[in-house]
Amino acid sequence: MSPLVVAVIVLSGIGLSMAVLLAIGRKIFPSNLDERHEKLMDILPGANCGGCGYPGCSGYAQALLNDNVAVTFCPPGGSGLAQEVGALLGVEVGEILPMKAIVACAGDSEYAPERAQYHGVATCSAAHTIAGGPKKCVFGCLGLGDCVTACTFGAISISKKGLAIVNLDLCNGCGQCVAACPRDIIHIAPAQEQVHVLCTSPLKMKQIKAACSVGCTGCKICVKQSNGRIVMDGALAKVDYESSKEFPEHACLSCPQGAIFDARRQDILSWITDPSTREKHERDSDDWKAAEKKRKTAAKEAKKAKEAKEVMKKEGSE
Amino acid sequence: MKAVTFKGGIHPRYEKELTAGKTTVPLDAPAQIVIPLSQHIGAPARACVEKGDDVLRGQVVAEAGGFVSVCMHSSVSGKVTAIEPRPSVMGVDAQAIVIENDGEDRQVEFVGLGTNWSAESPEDIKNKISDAGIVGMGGAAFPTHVKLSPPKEKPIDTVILNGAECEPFLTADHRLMLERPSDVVTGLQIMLKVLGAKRGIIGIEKNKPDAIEAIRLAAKDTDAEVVSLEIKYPQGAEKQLIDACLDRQVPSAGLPMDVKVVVQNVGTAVAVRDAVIDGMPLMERIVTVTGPAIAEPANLKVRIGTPLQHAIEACKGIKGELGKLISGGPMMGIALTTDEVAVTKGTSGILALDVDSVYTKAPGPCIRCGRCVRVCPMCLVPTTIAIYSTKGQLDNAEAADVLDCIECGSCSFGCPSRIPLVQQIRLGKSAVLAMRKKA
Repeated sequence: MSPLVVAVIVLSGIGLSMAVLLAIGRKIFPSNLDERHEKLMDILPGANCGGCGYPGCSGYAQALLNDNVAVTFCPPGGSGLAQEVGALLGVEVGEILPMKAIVACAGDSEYAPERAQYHGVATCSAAHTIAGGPKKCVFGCLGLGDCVTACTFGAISISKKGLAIVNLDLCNGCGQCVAACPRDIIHIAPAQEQVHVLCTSPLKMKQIKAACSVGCTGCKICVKQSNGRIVMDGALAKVDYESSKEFPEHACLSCPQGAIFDARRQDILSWITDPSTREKHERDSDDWKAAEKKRKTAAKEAKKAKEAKEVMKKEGSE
Repeated sequence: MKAVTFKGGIHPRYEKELTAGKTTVPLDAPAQIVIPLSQHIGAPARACVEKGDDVLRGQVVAEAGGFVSVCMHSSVSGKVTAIEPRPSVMGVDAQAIVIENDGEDRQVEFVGLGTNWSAESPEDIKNKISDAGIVGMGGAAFPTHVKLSPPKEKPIDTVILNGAECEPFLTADHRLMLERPSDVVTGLQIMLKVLGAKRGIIGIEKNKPDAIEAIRLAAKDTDAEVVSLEIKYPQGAEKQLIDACLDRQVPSAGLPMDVKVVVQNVGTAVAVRDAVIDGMPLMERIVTVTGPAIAEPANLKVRIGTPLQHAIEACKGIKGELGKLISGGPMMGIALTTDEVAVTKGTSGILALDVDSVYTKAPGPCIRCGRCVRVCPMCLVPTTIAIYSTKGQLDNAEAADVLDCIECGSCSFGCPSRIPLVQQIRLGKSAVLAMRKKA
């Protein structure tokens, strides 16, 4: 017999006997793992993104079974998965809101200039610790892609001008990018929200204008125009995601800096990468401002005329 | 006398001849000074003046914000015009007191203990030092009175004065030792008295034979010893200096006081002498303004709070194209994004490099040559620690003694692939410290 055949026979024999031993062992020492665990593992997405706050899908399944945690924690699975898990565990599940990640910065190299060159370790967290990063704005996106690395779903990319953009079709709102961003620029917002303030800088007018031409200066103009959807947090305008009021179309047009993005007018990719979109937005904004000015002067004149009329009336009656 | 040294280290070009022979010149006070509230390691100082207040030279404008903190004094007389965030050495704006100089230099009365200081109690002397707001003037700016207050169970038997000045380009300490040698020795004696230590050593690199001679002469009638050190970077690092002078090794995660030693910079010793004998607070320091992009390099005596641009202008400004502006030396200094920042108590030099001196190419892969391992003065394995740090393997980084790294930059300097090892290791250090804090 050739040595090859011997080897094949011996190894097959060892494999077979091991399989038999394992099968017997399983009968004698039955697994104390809940069989629902296996079923849960089949249902869960298996991306191990950690968006639920547990170490991977297996960790979440364990927590679901042992610690009675909510079935709604899995962002990639969304509402459908929560229903399935609820059915398996016998829990009633309401509707859950799908969430998406928003990069709250629009200051790419065109709008937010650099003050220094950075040649060190090519990650945002490293650049952030060196003098607050090379950008003049010490709050803006560094564009070195820590969020890209963190995203399990390949939903984030860096634009040519160095800004992180979220592909909303791929984003599951798990929040890994939020944890990875050293500048805290990325936040998770309800997917249905169309309007976002793309700036996180708390600085005042003068400092912002020196650092970025599309940053929020805290002028408060949008607050009046947004039907109460935008609120001030210090010198920074923020969208109130809790409120369910209608967001007026012209809210984004009222911003003198163009810091407010409205997904009903254009998608985020063209907003960041296509200069013509910005130009169109600026034209529309100017038109709206002119119309608003006209409306205001007309209202003023009407008020004046009314007052004059009243005065005449008064004089007449006297 | 044989020169002593430590294991590892590198030999960068020293470039000290640009300023070594130039006498220190006092720089005239600028029209406005900016005093950052955080110029030191520890809690920031608390401003104790308000906008519009009239202040005198030497007046306390900010009080210590804790035990590990120091007070700040105005270095000019004039009016406080603002207390607001200003550009700082760290790159992000930080709270600072802005004082408009009236040019009159009206000053408070300085009361010292006089030449009879040795009759006073160590406590009184230490109070004088802490009232003067003195910090380590080699660059790290650690409050001196804290260093002079070791816990009771850790007695100190030796004080080493660091006159190595191993950073290339810098000559501030060299000039100080030449120009005020007896004050350096007096400062050492004061610190010996405060600590109750017996032995005083002044370590000087042997590339400064004139300074060694001057200090030896000044110390002739005292028991201070002058030790000549091998020319090598980082010879002035605390642990390396102790190793060279005393052959004692500071244990991992330990401090010099664990081997009964306190190390102070020679500049600090002179500041201590001025504070104790003359009652003079720390309001000015010697700054070496140098580098290939400075038109006329010089050693300047600069008031704390002077904007860097004022000091650079005094040296006839920048010649050619500026490549990089650094506060401190090229090895451990901090690259700046603006020249609007102020000279602080720890600013030993202003270094302006031209474009050719700045390496900007992307790093290559590690070729496992081991050069970083050979030069590491702490006997660490920088390449491995750097990989652990960048890959987030913090447990491994901790086990490889990442926290013992003194960030001297020898490994990055020697790396043929130009890998920013120190930056990677620093990231690992802060991550490990954050992890420990969390645990």
